Amino acid sequence: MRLELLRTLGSLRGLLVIMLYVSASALTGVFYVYVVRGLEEKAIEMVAQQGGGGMAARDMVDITKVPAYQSMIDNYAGDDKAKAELWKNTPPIVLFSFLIALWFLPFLVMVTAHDVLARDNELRTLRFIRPRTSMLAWVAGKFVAQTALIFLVTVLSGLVIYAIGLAKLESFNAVEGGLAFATFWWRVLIFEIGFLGIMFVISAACRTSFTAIIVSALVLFTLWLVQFFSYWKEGEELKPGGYLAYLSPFFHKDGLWHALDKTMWISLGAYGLFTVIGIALSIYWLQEREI
Amino acid sequence: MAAAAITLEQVKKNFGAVQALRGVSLEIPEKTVFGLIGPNGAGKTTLFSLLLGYLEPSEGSLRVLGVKPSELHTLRGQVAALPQDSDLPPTITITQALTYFGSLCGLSGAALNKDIDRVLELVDLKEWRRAKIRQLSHGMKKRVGIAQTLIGEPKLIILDEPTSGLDPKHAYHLIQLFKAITDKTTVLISSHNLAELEHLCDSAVILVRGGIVRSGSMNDIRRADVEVRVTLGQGKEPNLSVLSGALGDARLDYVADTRLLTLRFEENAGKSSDEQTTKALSAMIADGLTIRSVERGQSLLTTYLELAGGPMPTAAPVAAPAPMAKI
Repeated sequence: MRLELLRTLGSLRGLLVIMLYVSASALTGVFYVYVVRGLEEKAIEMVAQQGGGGMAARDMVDITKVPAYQSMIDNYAGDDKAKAELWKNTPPIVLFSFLIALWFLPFLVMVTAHDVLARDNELRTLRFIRPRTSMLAWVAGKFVAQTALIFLVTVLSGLVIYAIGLAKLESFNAVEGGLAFATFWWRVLIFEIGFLGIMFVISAACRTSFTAIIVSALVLFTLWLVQFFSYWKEGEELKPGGYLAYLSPFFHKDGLWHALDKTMWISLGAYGLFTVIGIALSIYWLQEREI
Repeated sequence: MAAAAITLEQVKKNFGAVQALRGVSLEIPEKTVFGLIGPNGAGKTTLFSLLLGYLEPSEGSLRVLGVKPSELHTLRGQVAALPQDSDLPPTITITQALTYFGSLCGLSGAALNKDIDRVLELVDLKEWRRAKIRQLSHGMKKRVGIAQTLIGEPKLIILDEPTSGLDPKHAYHLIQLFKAITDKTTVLISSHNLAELEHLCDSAVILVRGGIVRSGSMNDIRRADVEVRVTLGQGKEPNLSVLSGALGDARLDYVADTRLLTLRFEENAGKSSDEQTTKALSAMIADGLTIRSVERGQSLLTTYLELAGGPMPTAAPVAAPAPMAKI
């Protein structure tokens, strides 16, 4: 397991992914800061012109309390009140960075994990390995290594955003911001682990890295489309095709924004199932397939 | 009789309509070097793949160190293999590769580092330990592949063409090495280098078209106890009737062009082959013949050619059908 970690984190690809993702986060953070700070400065100026002192105006300006921001959140959250509530109480820079992260993480997972097993299949390194260790231990080692890579990427990019918020945004509170990061970060990790399970099955099934990346991209795109198949709302009858949406990890993302209620448990269960089934199928495939 | 490291009973393997192995039964004793010989397509790699659990047999049973090949991992590194056409990850260093395989065998820390030093010394790659796999030549990669089989001192090493691509010096050293480790290890080796196998193996099996055509000790394979090949010096032609009379049950063949006189003794004729050979040579000398060389049995190459269907045609691209194997 330690060696898989070293192989993954120490590889050129691993380092590139970390660097790219952290740089993208930094750019996103900086971009956000300039937009928000510009808005804040304008708001402070307007409040000051209306008779408030400079400091008092600064205290009054909190973008999360601005009705336009709140209505934007309500719009984006749709009918999901729990999600809207959580988002409204989250420092916007944290929310913004994690929503961006959730958009890109499935593709990051695809880039880092598509050939995690397919590469050893292609080189036939598996032939050296299979007589020596169980496929369960081997796949588990690879899974932990990949999870650690994503863990590191999300922590580092989170820290970068946190540091930017702290340094550049006067409205950013260190404690509140830190707590918000902690609250969001584990949700992102669970989301990512579900996708890893799917990538592992694809990687185990494909005999070359090239096939694995093509199949991964197709599967991700299909799953992304499938999430829209469900138009179900509470009290309405679920349409036949709507059940398909449950097969998409994209679909269960919203449940992660809840407190520990039923919706959250369904989401956690779904991501858990994607992970467990993905790993189990990979192991079965690698163990039973003639190589 | 040593315990068996590998046992096969009526093992068959079909790939669709193609029968790659046709009911192979075999016992390979522990702590020996065992050769697997055969032409291309004879089923050697299929047999290796079955032994290592890469393939499942269509029929029959296999046991490797007492377990099914699909359960080899439970032995935790007691079986190591150098398969054909398998590569190590190109971006890691030799040391990282060996650390990886050593840890799969349950080694760690100082013991692992010590073992890595040992095997690198054995394959003469100590100075290259920090080189990445992709920087190595074909022969060096092969030696890394052999090094990974030696790590953790496994009880069984299965090698498919281990010396192909190696220069003669390293090939010779590795052959000596495989011979030297049989106090602890069983080595199963496949190679097309018959001279190498003849020198290295205690026993062997010749596979032709998925079936065993001869097996046993190297002497058995080469018929060393039942056949003596005498090359006569220039001069007098042998008087075959006189020699036949002197030798009793032995059969005599003489090829005048090469002056090769082949004596075939009846197996279990009550006399040892040494006695029969001495008697034959005495009769020849008494007949006034000069002797250039005496060879016990056939060379492995001759045996192989005889069993595998004769030598390849040398000239015509449109070849005549190969003669049937004499089994």
